Amino acid sequence: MKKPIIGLYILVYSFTSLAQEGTSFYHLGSATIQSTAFNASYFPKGDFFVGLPVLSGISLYANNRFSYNDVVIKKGDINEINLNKLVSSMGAANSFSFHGTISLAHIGFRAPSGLGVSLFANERLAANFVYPKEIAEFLFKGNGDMVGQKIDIGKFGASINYYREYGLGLAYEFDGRLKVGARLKYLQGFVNLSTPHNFNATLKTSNENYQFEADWQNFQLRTAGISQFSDEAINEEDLASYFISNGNSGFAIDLGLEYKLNRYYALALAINDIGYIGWKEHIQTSGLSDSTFVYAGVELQGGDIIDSISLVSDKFKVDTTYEQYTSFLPANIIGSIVYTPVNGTDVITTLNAKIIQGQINPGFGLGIRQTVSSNVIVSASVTKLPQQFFNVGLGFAAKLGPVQLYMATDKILGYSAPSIKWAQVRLGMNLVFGGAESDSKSGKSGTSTQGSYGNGKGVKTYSFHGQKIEAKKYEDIYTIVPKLSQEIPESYVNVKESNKRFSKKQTFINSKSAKSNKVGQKFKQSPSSVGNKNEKAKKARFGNLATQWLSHENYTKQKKGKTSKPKKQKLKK
Amino acid sequence: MIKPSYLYIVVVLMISSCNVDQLDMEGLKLSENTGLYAFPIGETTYQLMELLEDADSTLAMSTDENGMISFSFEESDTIELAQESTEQGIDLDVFLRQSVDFPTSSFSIPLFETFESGSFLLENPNLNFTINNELRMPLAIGLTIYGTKIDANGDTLRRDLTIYNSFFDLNDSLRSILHPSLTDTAAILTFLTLDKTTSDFDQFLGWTPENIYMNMSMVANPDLAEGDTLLFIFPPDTIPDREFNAGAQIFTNMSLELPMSLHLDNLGVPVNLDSITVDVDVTTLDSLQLRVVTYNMLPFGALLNLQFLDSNSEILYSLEEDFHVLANPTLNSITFNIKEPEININQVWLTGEGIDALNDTQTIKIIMTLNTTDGAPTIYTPLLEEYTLEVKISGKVRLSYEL
Repeated sequence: MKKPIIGLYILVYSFTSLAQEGTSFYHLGSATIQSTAFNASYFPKGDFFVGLPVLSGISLYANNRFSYNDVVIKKGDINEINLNKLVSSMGAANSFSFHGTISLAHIGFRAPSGLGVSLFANERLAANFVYPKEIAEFLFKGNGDMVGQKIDIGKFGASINYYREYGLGLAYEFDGRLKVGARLKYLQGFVNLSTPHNFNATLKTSNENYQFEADWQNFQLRTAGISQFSDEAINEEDLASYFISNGNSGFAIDLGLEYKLNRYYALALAINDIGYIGWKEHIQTSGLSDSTFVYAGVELQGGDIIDSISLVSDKFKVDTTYEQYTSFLPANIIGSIVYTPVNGTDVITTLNAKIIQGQINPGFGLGIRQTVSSNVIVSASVTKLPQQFFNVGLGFAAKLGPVQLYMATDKILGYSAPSIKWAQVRLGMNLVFGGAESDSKSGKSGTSTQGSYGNGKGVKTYSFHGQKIEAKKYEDIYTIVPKLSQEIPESYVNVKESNKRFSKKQTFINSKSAKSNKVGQKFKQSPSSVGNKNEKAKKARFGNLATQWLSHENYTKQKKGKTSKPKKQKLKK
Repeated sequence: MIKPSYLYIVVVLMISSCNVDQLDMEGLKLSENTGLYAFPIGETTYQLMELLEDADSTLAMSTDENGMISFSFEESDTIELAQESTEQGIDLDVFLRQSVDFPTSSFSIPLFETFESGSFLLENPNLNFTINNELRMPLAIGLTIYGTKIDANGDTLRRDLTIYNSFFDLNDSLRSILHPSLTDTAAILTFLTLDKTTSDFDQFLGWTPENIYMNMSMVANPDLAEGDTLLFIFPPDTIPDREFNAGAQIFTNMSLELPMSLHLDNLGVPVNLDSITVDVDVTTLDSLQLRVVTYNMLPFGALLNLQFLDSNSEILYSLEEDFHVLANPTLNSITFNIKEPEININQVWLTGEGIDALNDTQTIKIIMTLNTTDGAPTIYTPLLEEYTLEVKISGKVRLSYEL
């Protein structure tokens, strides 16, 4: 039994060295217009959305391998940064990340055709440093215990990107099962500091005589937008102009889709930030020429130590160039399986991978999303973020009239300055118009990943109880139809017998759970329905059944060919 | 629907996992760091020929058809007998037994200066004399050879070469040489050889004299008894058998041949490294490792010892035990070639006392103790010109320092 548990732990741990932050927010599904940043197809319900500058979205994330307490020892009046503790607190792969996003503007609307359109601008900062423990060991503990070991310095990488993105987002749903979305982004770069993704270097101290063997390719540190801040070059007017528009531009695209397998399961997949920025202004690249060298010390017969060192130091002569270069955004991939055991409750398993400096860093999250009311959605997630132990995150989105507030964090426990290693939060406020009325009518806000289903998408007719009915509107998981007669056609009463899933649902809907889910609220009960208990129960069963049948829009659509022609069986009395 | 009780639990958990502790940044400093650093010091490949040439530039080096190295030394002299005898108050016209001393010749062997102790035994050293004599009277030579060297105390030591009686053919340790007859005007050559069959020359050289001196004297009329004078009465039928031809010369050539077929037994070869300065704050040194890697294609093995000497050559620190730096390779028993080098990796750690001694160390003395491949004393190993030695020296230090 232990082996599978250990194996599972290793699997999860190995998948989380640099995961995507914001899983709790992502698990809110398409609750907000900002959800499209995670999956471009997650266009929320509503007709028109406005995100005010700054207020509509701030996202912050910081993650470090070690905390203050991990490395500092108090010795009397001295707080000592203990290098032994520092090194031992590291894992094989380490990183420091700071990501920030501030929304400048966000407008969205749903076109009559059902196409969700959004325009947005964000200020984004992404700083990532990745470094293997062996580099720290080499620097602080020396190479004496690493003799014979090849140190892969190429695993070190730095990437700081400060840029603005202007984007157009499009989302559309096909036939109730497939939602797709794309966001096209024009990028305006301001500051970059990065090592090339193809940087590669190794260093080895040989077993035999401790000679140094090193080689490197693309050993460079590239900067853009930094030189203008030097005292000599600084010019406020130029700076202002630079931060409005400059020649450092690029493009990126986000792609997303969600596909419903059946009533219970849906798959979601998104690929975000596939793009680049071509840096052309205020650029400088400092680096070493590609080289391989072996240093075995001085020639013992008449060799000169100075000459010997000079030969080596020549290899480390830093060249500076001013050629334009391209940096890639840290792209990420998010895939989820959404399981909906009960209406309004989704269980989401998420795997994601972030590509930083050419290295793929997968992550993992498991969450539950609950629709509390038509205006409130909450999510709770367990995530394993890079370098950290499992943590619990929470998120919510709530509407107060046209004002939508949201906030999510992957970390709700362990906020203590000396021991904190990481934090993440995303919060904001949107104005949402339209869609709310129908939400309240439906009694459900449709907060599952299916939640943005077909508002204003058009009207279809269905066969119900053997007769043609016309849907008035689609709202979330519901199909809203005109008031129906409570008469049960004989041809339909035996549906329970002919369809096991219906049978199950029938039993379920008749339970308290069904009531608590307010299933059937859209159908006003006729006074005649308030009769004896059996009759009431019977009718309630039918009402719930009918409502459920209608409310599971996909199921309806998937099964309409069959269920529109129910078998003629007698209703058992 | 989430029950309120769950929310309470979450809130309690959140609160209990958080606190308002502040970061204490006062007096923040880095700890002392301890690191272990390995580094190469240097490497080289020694050719045996080059090593020997560097060791002794006064002796000529050559190789035979098998590649065996030989040292040699050669010196010639011409003695004008009339002048020499007059200067020494000797009248060679009088036929009696009398002796003329030749100038003392000497030569040095710097190679031997590098040897400190132990045994260095050559298989076939020899000293050849070629004497070309024009004097028309019986002659013999007397020979005294000795060596000197300076010991560790600066005193000069002397050792005489023991020449066995078999070398001499006359009484009083004289060896006759050929001379021309009265009717023969050409000079006559005499070849003499001193080797380990006629002397203890191998042992003499094994004593590693730094200088060798040779006193040669010529004895005229050695066939006459001491004090006798031969007078020639000239009866008509008497023909004299000797005369002093006043212009006669004696040409002497002495050649030393030292074929390097040898046996080393704990031969101590010290090397002083006084140009090395230890430019390190030794208080940061916790320990120091010296590592020597050798690819030995020399026909002997070696142990190494280290001594740290102060400015007065006093030993401040010495390794407790020698460590192995050269491993004996396997030799082809016929050609004495070495097919593959014998790789030896060894290291020695200096701690405490040794590191403290570095503070006042002026000279690092390396003492190599060499032994030929086969330890049996009767086995000699030729030194071939192809022999090489590759040496790689590296170090490892444990440092404690503040960043």
